Amino acid sequence: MRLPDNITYGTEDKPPLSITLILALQQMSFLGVYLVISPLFARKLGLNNDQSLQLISATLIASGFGVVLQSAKFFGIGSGYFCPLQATSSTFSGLLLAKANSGLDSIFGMVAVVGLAQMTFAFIFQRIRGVFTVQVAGLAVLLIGLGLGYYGIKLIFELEEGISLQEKSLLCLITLGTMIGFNVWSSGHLRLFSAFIGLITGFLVSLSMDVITDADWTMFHNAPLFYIPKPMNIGWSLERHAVLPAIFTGLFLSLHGFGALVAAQRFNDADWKRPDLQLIKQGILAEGITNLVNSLLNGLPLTSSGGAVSLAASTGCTSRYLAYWLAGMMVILAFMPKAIVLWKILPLSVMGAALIFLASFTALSGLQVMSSRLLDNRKTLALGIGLISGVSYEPIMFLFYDRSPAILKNLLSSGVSLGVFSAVALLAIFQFKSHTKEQRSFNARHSSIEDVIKFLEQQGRSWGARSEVVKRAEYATWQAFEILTEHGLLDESTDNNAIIVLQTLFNEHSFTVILKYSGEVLPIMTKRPSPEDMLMDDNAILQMAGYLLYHLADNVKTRHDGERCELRLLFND
Amino acid sequence: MLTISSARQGDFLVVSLVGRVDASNSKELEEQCINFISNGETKMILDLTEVNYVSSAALRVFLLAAKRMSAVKGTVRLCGLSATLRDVFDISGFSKLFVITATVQEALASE
Repeated sequence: MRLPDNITYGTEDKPPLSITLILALQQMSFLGVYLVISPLFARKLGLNNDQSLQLISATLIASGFGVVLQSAKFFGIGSGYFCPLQATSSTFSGLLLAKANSGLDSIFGMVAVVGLAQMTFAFIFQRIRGVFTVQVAGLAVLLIGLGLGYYGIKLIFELEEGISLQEKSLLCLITLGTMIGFNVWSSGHLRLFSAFIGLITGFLVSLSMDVITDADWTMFHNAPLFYIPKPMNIGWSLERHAVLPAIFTGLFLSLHGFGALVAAQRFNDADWKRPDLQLIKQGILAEGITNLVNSLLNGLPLTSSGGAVSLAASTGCTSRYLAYWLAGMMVILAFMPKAIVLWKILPLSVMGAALIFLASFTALSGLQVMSSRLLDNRKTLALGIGLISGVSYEPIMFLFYDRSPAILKNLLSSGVSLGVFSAVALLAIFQFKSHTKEQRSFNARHSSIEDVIKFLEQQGRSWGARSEVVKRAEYATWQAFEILTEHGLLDESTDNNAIIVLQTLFNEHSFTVILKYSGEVLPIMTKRPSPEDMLMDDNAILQMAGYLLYHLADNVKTRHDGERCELRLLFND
Repeated sequence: MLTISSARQGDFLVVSLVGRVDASNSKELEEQCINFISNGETKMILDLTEVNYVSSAALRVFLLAAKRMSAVKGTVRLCGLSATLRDVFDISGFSKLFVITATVQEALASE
């Protein structure tokens, strides 16, 4: 694993304490915006003040527990990446359905089932790796980026009490400009803190512009300084009506978590090639266990935060040691409601600017992953429809939300889950009549390199390979064709004998090209002929060709069975 | 299929190759290179920007051209290799035998 150039502190690096503390504060300042979700939901549920404080505190404590579990990677649980957890308003519909059917207590029983469902999906995702491909991972990351950016734009231009559109735009420009300025034109520590400096600047400018309303300040003054949360303070019961919505909420959160965890992997490895589904399973397991604990504490369901992962990458520190300090801050904040109110009074345009900043890194990273692979029609359609559904989830939700079964509402409430679900479902359908083994015969006397290239590229697209791997396969295959024909290794005594059968096999990790022909075995060389040999000895050209094949392919095998010979070239993705 | 064209740029003869260089046309390239050297060329750049395939037989031709050129105290430079071609030159060890640059301009400027 090679660390990308823009990452100063990678997953295993331990930044100095002072830097870690400020970076944790930066993460907290971003994740704090999701704290606003808890009181919003508390209002929807009609919770009293004590219950509302319990919900916020419990969600924060569970987030702290979750980020440690995710980063520490104990006993096969947790991805080992810095991947904080957040609540999302997309789960509200499922939770409200549980309350309507079985009462307030059942919401928290449902959170436990959500956790169990996530743990089950963690294993299922790993089993159906054929549809959770690199391209789907790229789509998930792209949709997380687009979703963050879209939400950011909405926050900037949404009407807000006590602040005009011009003031909002100015605040956004100053916040975003500060973040960009420190991220692009500064180096070292200032770049690491660029998002935090931008947020602080935005907050200070909003104070100087006097756009924080009196009602906001009253809310701040009235908030208690300390609060001690108690487990199951609101209630807990498990009702059968809550099980199905919980399973769908678990599926939605697992798909979202998949995207965030892939983004974390991608941001930490310059040579990233495909999602590590074992670590993703461990990551989603950690999310599930967190929600089991969360259920007992009476908090909201949590999932990995694509935004927080993007913030870590865009500012250049993805160290997992950050998780412990962030968790500490979350737990301290859980006991201090007054501090939490600070996020509630932060103008939306300041947070909107931060989201646009983060979205740029995430969306482009997803796009790079998707475009690094060759696509055939099946993949183009599955990913294209997934992308279109993900981007257009709002109009789809507007049209179908009221008419769709309640348990499906979660899927319609998030671009990431709708897009990834559509793509995965279509890829599963498109597996029908999709072959991983193809064979074609080429007459060595009449075939051209173009025929061979066309066949291999077609197979490469079906496989979803990186173009450079297919290019290497084409190169080696044609070199083999040339040796066989030019050095008399192919028996061309009859037209039938001059046939070279080309077979391709692929699985998720490798692409194999097999040449079957009549004649002599092709010599594979492990030692390179010297330049002098190349000039003096005609046989050295054949040796060099054998040596090139040995190195162009990741594995080469030859076989001789009577008159038939076989050359097997394996290329790893 | 290989197309060979040449143009003078300063002291250098820039030989542009288009297509693939394999056993079927390596002899043709070899003859062209020998002709250039016989006609007194001592500074030659082989522009491979438009070449998508080079076989082991073609590698020998490059080596032969370099050896002939060295006999008259001249130089052969290569430029414009694609990533796969660069791999082939690295694997064969030929990237150590030639000055290889990204563009013709860089080849002209390199010492």
